[in-house]
Amino acid sequence: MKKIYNLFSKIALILAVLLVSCEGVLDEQPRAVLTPDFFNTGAGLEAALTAAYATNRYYYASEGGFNLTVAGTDEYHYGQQVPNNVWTVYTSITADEGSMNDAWRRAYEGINTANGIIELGPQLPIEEQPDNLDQIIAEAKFIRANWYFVLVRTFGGVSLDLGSGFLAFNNAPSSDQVRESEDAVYEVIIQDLLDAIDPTTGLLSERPNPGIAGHAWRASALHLLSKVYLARGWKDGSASDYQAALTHALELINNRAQYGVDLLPNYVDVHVEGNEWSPEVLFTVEWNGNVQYNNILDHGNSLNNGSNFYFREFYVQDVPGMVRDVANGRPWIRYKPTPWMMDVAFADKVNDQRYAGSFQDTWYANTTAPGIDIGDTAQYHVPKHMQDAFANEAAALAWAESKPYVVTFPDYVTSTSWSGVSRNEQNKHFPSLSKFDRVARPVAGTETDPNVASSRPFIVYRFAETFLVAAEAALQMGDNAAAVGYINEIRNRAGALPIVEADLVGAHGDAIDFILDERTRELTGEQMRWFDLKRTRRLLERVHQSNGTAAPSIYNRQYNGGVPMAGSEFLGPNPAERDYLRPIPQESIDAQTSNYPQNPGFN
Amino acid sequence: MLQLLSYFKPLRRWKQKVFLSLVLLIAISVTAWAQQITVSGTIKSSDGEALPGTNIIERGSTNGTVTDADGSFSFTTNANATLVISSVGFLTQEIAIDNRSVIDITLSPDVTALEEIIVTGYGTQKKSDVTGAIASINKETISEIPASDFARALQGRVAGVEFQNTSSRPGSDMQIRIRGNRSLGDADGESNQPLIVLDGIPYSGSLNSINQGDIESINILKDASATAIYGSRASNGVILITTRKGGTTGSRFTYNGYYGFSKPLDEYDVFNGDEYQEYVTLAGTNDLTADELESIAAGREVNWQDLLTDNAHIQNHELGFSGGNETTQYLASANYFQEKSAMPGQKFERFSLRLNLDHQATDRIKIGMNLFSSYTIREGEGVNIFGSLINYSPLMKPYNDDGTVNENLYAGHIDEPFNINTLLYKDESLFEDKRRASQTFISAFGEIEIIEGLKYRLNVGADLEFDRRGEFRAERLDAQSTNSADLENGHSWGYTLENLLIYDRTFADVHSLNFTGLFSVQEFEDATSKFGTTAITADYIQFYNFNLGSTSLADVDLRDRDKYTKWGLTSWMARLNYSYADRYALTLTFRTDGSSRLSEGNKWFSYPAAAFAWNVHNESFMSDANFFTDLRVRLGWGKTSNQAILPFQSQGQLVDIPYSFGVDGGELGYLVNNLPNPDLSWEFTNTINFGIDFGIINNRISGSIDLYKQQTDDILQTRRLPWTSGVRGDFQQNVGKTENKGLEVTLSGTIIEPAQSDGFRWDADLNFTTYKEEITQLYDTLSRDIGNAWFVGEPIDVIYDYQKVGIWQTGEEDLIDAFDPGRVPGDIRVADLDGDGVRTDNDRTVLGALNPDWTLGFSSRFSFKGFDLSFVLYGRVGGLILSRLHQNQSLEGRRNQLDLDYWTPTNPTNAYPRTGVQFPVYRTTMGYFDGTYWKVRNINLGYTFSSAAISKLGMGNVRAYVQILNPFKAFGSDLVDAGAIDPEPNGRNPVSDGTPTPGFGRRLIYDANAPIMRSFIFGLNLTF
Repeated sequence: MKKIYNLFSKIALILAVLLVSCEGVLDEQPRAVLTPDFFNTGAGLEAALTAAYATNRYYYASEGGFNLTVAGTDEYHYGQQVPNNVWTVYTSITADEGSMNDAWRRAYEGINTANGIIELGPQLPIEEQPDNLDQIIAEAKFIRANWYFVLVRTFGGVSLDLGSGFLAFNNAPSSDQVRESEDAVYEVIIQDLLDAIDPTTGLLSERPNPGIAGHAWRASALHLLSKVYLARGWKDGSASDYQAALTHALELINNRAQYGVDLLPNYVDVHVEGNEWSPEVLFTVEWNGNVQYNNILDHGNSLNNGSNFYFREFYVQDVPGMVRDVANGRPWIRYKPTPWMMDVAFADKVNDQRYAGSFQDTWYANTTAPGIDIGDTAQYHVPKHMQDAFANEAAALAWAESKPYVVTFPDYVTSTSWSGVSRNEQNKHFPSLSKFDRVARPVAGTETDPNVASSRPFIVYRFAETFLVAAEAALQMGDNAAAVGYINEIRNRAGALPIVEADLVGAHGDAIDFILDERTRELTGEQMRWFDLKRTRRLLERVHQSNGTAAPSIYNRQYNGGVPMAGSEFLGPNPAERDYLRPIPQESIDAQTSNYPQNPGFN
Repeated sequence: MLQLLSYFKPLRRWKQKVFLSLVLLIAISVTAWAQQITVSGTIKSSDGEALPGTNIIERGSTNGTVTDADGSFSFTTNANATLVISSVGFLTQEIAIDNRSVIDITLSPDVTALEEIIVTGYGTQKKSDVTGAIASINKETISEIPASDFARALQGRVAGVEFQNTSSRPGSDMQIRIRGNRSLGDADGESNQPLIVLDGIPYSGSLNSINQGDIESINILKDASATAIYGSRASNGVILITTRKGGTTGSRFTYNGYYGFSKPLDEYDVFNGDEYQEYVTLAGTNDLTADELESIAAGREVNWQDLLTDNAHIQNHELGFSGGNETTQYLASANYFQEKSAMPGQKFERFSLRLNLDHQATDRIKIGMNLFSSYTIREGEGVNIFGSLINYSPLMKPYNDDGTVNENLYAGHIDEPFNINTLLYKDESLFEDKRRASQTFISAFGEIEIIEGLKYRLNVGADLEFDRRGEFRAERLDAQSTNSADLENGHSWGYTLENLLIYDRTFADVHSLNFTGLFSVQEFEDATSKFGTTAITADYIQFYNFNLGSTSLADVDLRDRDKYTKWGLTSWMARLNYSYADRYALTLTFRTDGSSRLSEGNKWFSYPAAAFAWNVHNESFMSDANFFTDLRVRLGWGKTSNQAILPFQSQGQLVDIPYSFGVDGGELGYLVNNLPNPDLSWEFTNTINFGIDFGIINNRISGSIDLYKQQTDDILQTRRLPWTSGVRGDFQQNVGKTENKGLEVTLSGTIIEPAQSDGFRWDADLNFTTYKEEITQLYDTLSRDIGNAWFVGEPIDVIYDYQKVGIWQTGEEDLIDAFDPGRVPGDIRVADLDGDGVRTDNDRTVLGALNPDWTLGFSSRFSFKGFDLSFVLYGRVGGLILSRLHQNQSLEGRRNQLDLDYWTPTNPTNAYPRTGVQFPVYRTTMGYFDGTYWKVRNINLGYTFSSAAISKLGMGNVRAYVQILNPFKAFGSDLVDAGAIDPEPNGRNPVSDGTPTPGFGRRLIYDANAPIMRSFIFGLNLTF
């Protein structure tokens, strides 16, 4: 008994010791999920950088992103699949529109992730630090700057403290953010980019090789910084900002070889599939053919590159000889070029490669139909200059009647094919932006499937724009001669006739209209136009003039023998002063505990 | 032969005694009128055991004797005296001799005495000292209704505790709610689940692993003054399960077994051939197929339910061996249980073993252990073949002419590409869904008396579970895909270590003091991995080799399928019970829990409780009041929490986002999905409970009444962060409040008490429960959260929708256009609740709660001679039930369905809408039914063989019984009247389905699941 008694007291003693040491019981070690602590490791920091880049997929090449930048400009009107798209016609934009989330919501996710990298990276113990820690942090600053640049232009002043302090990585739930001024946001953007181009701690000067393409390098930041200075210059009328814009653009232009950058010899090659990492490209949002990381088979996924769908016209309806195929793409029929863009901006379709390099206006039959064999022309959108060559409307229509294929005219309606169809039907057929076409099918078994999302990287910034930024900055500083020089560099490359200083003067007696027209020719569809019009304060005028009822055209008017149909009056673009800013999503405002000011006119 | 003879020895002795007695009697009566006779006989308990040491006294004298080891006695007394027979644990009986010389007496157990000791958690208490609200359920009640687990057997038996089905498939778990819901957490999560404690150790396994017959008692702690000893896990009540132990009187073998034949209680009432033809023709959306036209011409029709279902059975066999002496007691039992449903491939089996051992090692040291191991096989838990079955046209051809299953039922029908023939499920090689779980649960204790009254006790428990579920479906069972297989492997383990210091003394005979101090540590870990594939090379490979399945990453998505949880809990607890002269009892409790689930600096919370009981019947002023044998008043208050926070929830979580750099490959990036939330804390429930226990007419009628009010604060709610936070996921905040008030009444009584022990006896038990649950605060000033269907002032689980008032009739077109444009006659008409003349979202309202208004359980037992007859009745009144079965009756004219009274121009009913519409607008309103029903759970008829006959066979006790489970369909149920088989829930709402009833989540519903069974059971209880 004594033995047992002793044994018992020993057990009790052991347990007494256990009592002291069992605090470990209360420590938690998750295993099946990653917690934010993961960012305190080298691998975590790299995964965070990947995620920060990935947030761009929600905005670039997404329908929401195009709605915020391409729709509602002088370049594009709504297509048949989204009639009266609020982003195009402005009248009913409310704080509940989903497209804003592709910027507002995703930007903050990207920014918070970048905040984490920038804040936690330097705190890593030496043994955890990746070799390229400086580069990672500089890339995070580039991403953060780019997102804030998207935000400040789209929404105005936004939040810089997400809940844990100024530009701090969020680590506790807070429902009480404040809106800062636009100036404060620009300060942050410029400081981040100045850090990013710092020769010692900033981004690398060499272009990343195609195996790791998508990472920002110094050229990306220089270009973006010049754009940011230009935008702030316009906002404040600040000569020093224009100068800084020019300086940084010229740094890139003059030292292009050092940064691995150059213009391609031919414009038509710029947007050819496979050229997404050409010397002209400065920054891309990446996609490739790997199914697991690109969702390309799950079309309509929010992380898709859907740019190959949105601009396609409805070539499979009312066009004998056409069925949906890979070469012509899947038509989502979202954005239709305005007559102004087709007829005025791209008036020169002969010398200037940029019309042919940007649009498809002819369709070749891919199936047989009465009178049409495979390979025959099935549809042709007649350009303005060709229409004007006809003696009169009757002659043009007679010519069209003589053709076995479908013909459209900028100003006329063919009596056989188009009479009596509603406006929405007419919004089906138009020259389609072809910059984003994707024919290659990297996934085996999908070779003939047109419903595959694009596996191309989306080109966000390219070197040709650097010249246009430089030109605009020079113009704003009154150096028209220099501006002409920069503009002619890209016109020459495109085969367009060179300009002289006198060509710059537009209706307002300044050169802004010319530079905007030139930007259309060079950059249409590349998710910039709304910002261009906003920056130059020509948004209201240009949208009203070029995207309204101004030009009689099948692209934007209801025709019934030339007379608008009764009861279907045109819902034209109606931007107002308030539309220089987009509304902040109501759901985000509602979640704030204290007042988060909405932009004027959207309450 | 020799042995056999020895069995007759007792009989011979008995005969001898009778003979001798007779001789004596004659001798006495002849020789003297002295009125002195010698009386002899045997005293037995009601279950046939001899009772040695029983006192027999002539009333009003000191003349008496004591029974010997065989329970026999013999003594001389006055011929017309009255004998007073008393034995500990039995009701004292008085019997007039009436000149008899042989008197065999059966003593009934003293119910109050048996319940004298109540398991209260970390110890036991005399019933008179119990201060909290505790429901005690004894062995007889637990094993009265045969079932796969005790929870099923206790449905409707305990006031304040609701046990509900989560599925009608064999082996499914029950949802247990003690005093309603408190938390707004997931309907099937931990936040409203009670804590289960098995032989003193918290148990996390499935209840169906535990053999019903092994359970000695179940004590359910309902109010916080009783549960506070379990602190942060106590809010939802605590179920204490105590298993049987060996006795001190020799060894005993027992066999308990039953076998039952089962048949579906009924069939779903669907359209027959003629009705179907009429309905399809009227709907006009589909033409009858060639097969169907042929059937019409041939006058044939099919009853699909009859074709698919088969006879089923339920069986249970249990062998026990128990015994012991003063120092060592043991019990070993082995059990096999099997329940097979009438559906192909749906079965539950259990093999379990138990060994309980207690040993008094020395005067001061006691050790013991409980070892329990079970292996369960559950088949078909995810197989629902009934949903499609009731949709089959009665005019289709189930079999081809050659007798094979017609796999192209829908030839020529719009659904041809989608359908298979469910009869294929009768070929069990085409599918498999089998979960095998093995569980081991061991608890051991050592106890040492340090000084008189002071004991140290160590409890150690280990809980180990392996679980493997394989699922396979052949291509023939899926019209649109290849074959597929999934495999899930789970492993969980946990341990509990408890150090208890117990001081138990009575001072000066009146001051009883019991102090219990506890330090405990518990950890639990659970890891599950799951993977699946498709396009497996050969069907027989099933889920046994994933290398023979598709290798495409798109088909084998491994992400987000593995789970891991681990939590730890460290606790200190002190409890003081003090009672004075059996009149006043006071319990003070304080527990403090540290939990790993909470953040650093926020891990520890404390739970105080206090309760007081007054045994009024022991007061001197009551000594003359013979009416009350027992009268006790209890008042208690306490604070507790539940486990509404999941492990790791306070740490935040990342989410992956795919990206690719460059020409090929890709990688996963991670960003913050949920922020760390160091402020997360438990939900706190304060309960005040007032109770009265009483016993009248010598405890012939006894009962309890409890009134309580619970208030839960800091209820966790999911809130959305503004997107400016840069974090996409929601976060949890402790903001809401709920309240629950209720009344529970339990009554037991002997309605007819026999004069003779084997005369006609009628006992009855009744329990009544009603409570009112209410959300008292949501976040901020929000009074309603429609997305979750939470409304201040309403219960937690409510149905929020339009109110169907009928069907729009022909001629009401103008009304329709004004109120609800787009509807046409024959569509569902909803009420204009906001009275604005137009149907808007504001016309939705809280239609009712899922909780009943009140429930009533009633059971009765009649006995006469050796016969006993009993039944259990359960009633649930008020509340709503949601029937997805009815919500899914589209009346489109495309499939068969319930035989509903649908609208046609010539049948202007207000019951169900017109045909020909795929998704009738407001079809959700077709699925709400009054939840009232009355149900007889079982009827049981048994016969206990007389001890004489049994002794002849050397047996202690033999009882045989027949029982009918679910003898009738439920009464008074709207849902049953509307074509359902049973009104009890048989499934959970599938969240993924985007249910159109707001906020319904994973709550219990009625759906087209396997019908419940009516079973005819034959059983035998033997004791050797």
